[in-house]
Amino acid sequence: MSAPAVRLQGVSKRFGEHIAVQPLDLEIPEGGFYSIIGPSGCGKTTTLRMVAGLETPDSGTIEVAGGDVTRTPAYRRPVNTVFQSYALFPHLDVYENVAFGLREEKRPKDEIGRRVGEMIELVRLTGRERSRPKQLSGGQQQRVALARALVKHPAVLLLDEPLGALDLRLRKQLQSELKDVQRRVGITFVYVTHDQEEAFSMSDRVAVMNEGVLEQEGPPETVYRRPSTLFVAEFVGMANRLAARVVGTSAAGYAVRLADGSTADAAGPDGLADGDEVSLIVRPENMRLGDAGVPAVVRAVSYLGPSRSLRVEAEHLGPLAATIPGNAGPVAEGDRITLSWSPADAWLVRAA
Amino acid sequence: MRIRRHWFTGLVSLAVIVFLWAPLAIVAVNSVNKNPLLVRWGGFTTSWYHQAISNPDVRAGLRATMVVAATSTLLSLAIAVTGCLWWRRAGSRSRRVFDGMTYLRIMLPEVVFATALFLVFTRAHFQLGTGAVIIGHTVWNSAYATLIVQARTASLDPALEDAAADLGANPWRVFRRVTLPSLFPAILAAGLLAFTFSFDDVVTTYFLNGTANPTLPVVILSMIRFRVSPEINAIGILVMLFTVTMFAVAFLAVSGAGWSTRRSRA
Repeated sequence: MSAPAVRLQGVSKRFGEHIAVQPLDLEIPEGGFYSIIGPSGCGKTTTLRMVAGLETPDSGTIEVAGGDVTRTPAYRRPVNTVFQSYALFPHLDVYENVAFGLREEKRPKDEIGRRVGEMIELVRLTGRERSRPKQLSGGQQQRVALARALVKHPAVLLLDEPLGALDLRLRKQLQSELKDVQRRVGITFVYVTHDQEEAFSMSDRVAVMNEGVLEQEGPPETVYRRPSTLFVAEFVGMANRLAARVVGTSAAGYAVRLADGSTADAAGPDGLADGDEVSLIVRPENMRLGDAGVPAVVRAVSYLGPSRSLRVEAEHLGPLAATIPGNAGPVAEGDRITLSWSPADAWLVRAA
Repeated sequence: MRIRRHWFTGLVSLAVIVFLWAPLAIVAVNSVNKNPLLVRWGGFTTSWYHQAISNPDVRAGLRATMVVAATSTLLSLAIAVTGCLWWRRAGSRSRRVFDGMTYLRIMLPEVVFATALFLVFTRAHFQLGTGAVIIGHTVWNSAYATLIVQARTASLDPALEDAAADLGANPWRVFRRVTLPSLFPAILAAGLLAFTFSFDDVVTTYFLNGTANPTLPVVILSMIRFRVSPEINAIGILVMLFTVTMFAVAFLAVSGAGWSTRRSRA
């Protein structure tokens, strides 16, 4: 086992009265695509900037590739950053922007030429070497920023919402490009975004932060299907949340009693005891129309092509959302339907 | 909707133009007028220009002016750039103090500073002369330079400097390769403006020059006190051309026109 690419131990940061990051422990494995997600102001960008050396932590230690860099200034850390606004140097052309870091390393001229050329080719900007940043489109500028950071072969590449300023179609395209580049160069990418969908589509692992606290860390599927807090459950996607109380165990894990008095089986984390107040989480796409289950009245239907999104009102349980296949039979506003789900798709989190 | 013009506003504008340009036109015409008394047109000549250029007082004056203007400009730029870099990271209260001191140096009448410096220098037995004049010019010149550089520093994206540090540039290299090139148009403009202001200053120079070689404007002033030689017209036109050129270059630099042709390599 090699050392993790990044290891944070007890790292915290406050700005005046505002605590940006609570003491944080985090290990980012080497060689993968790792995302830190959370709403704005959750401390994800501050965390990234502390790894880059652009902010100094108030406490804790930061290791990069096994070496302690807590007191190392940014310009001597083996990490490079793709900034949110790209931060391309407006007075330098594409070639000189990409060559910037190598010139600081005082590399021989032919080596600079070769490596810059390779990078510009990797990000498909050959022919634009002499263009100024402002002559490029947003997507092209983003690629220059990527090439400029990657050309130094950093141990870790940090990306701070690099697609934030682009339109949706371009984002989708660049997401797959980024993932592709990461696989080819094999460098650890640490990606910060507030867009969970973007993070899920690219990442091997994600960390979810909220108000300076790491809420959960793991592969996207685990975070989505087995959220450890209510915040995570709701941040990473639509969630139906039913108040419940643990009453026993079942094949799926636990048995709970819902607000309408019925009992249901659900999976959940270890350590829940009878009588614990919990929330039962069911994703809308795991809701099924059936004969047995929760009776409800349809309040609204939106047809999305591949699927149909329903808003329903269940007796005693309140409003619920369900996503059913687009080719399932017609459902109209006011219809009385019955919703059910598989116990394996129901997950318990402790009530806040 | 069309705004109707009133004849009075037109008349005032016309009068301003006439009174502004007429003296300049007369000076320009007389600088090539062969008639030495300048009472009527006596034919074309460039001899006043030759005479002006070969006048030893004028030459010495020009040399003194250049030394004063160049030194005071360099000092002013150094003060302005360091001040603005400090200002960028300063708290809001320190910023207000800094701004206040800048505006004060521009608003207070020049004669006030000149008198104060004269009194201090003579009391402290600091030799009046070129050095004293340079200090005097730098008092207000650094304020003008600060105003211009400050506007640019305020719009400087700190992410650019973060990016340079992130790419391995130490603080000095960040300044050298990113901050300074980004400020360059403003520095150029501030420098040209400061040079021009220093170039045509009389008040401060008059107070602080002592017995040193007088600068060109002071030379001109003492020349016309004797008599208005036709040569003065030629000097006036030369100074005007020089000043206008400086301002034009400063303006182009600020508007960024000089940018696209510049290629920076470290």
